[in-house]
Amino acid sequence: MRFLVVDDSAAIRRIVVNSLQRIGYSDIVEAADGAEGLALLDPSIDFVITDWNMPVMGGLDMVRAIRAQPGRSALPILMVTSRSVREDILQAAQAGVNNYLVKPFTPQVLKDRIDEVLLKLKGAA
Amino acid sequence: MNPGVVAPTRDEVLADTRETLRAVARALDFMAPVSGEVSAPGIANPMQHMTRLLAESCSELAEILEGLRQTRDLIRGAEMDHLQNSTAALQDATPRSELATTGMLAGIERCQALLDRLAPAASPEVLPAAPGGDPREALRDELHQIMQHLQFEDVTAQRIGHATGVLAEVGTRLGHLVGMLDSCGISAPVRDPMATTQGAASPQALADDIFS
Repeated sequence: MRFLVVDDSAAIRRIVVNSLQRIGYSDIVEAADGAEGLALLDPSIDFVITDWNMPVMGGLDMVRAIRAQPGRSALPILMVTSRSVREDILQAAQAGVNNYLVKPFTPQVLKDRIDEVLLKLKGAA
Repeated sequence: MNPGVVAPTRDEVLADTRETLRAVARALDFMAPVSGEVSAPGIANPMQHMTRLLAESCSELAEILEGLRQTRDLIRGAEMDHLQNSTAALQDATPRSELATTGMLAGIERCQALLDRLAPAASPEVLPAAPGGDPREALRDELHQIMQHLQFEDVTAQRIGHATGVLAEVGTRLGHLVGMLDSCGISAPVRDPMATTQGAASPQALADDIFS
């Protein structure tokens, strides 16, 4: 499974990548903002993990742009962010995010969220 | 600044003041005692009494204006400098913190790489099995725990970014406030708003009355 990790913080990207490797995923592409994420998004990407607040293009706008593309409605997207207000979470869900993880997180919680998203999409298919 | 509030210009303030003074002068003329009229007990002359009240009000207004001027100077001098310095310090903290965190993460990754190299080379004599299992795995877990804790940097950076934005907004609003005080003539030396050549008693008569 190939992951696209989008976050403007190099530190958080390292932590997410390290956590993914720890739970068994090693095929990972990184992007520093939504625009770069969109540019790197190709059919080989199976799962997107994105931050919300980023320069150039934020995570929410990137998710909307992805969902607007034909054939991307079922691409799993997990938002990992420090925003934890109910309205924000609802807004992310409306934009098309499949699940939402509030920082700080542990590799186990990340794994649980990824599994949950994949299981739900498998059930819906 | 509240977009609904428009600061009056200096000319508007002066025109209002002129109109007010004329109205006061007319009132004083109206109240002037008719020749031979007996004043109320304790008040030698109602007009002089009114003039004294106005002079006291004028003095209070001058004090208020002086207070506003001092406030303006304080905001412009100390507070805005302090705000700008605090904002700059906060803005500087975020990249430094991120740089330090990235450095720590790189160090942890180097330790993990060293552990990977150490793992096949180490024999049980060198690294005896710990009661809880392989100490190398325990060390790997500890390193990963430290890495997870470094997420604090991003969370803190978000909050610092928010605080910096709020401080910048406060600075902008204070700047607008200082601008409003300037446009109202607070920066000019305080002038006597009672100065007029029309009606009422002469200022010298008032002074004589007070000091007599």
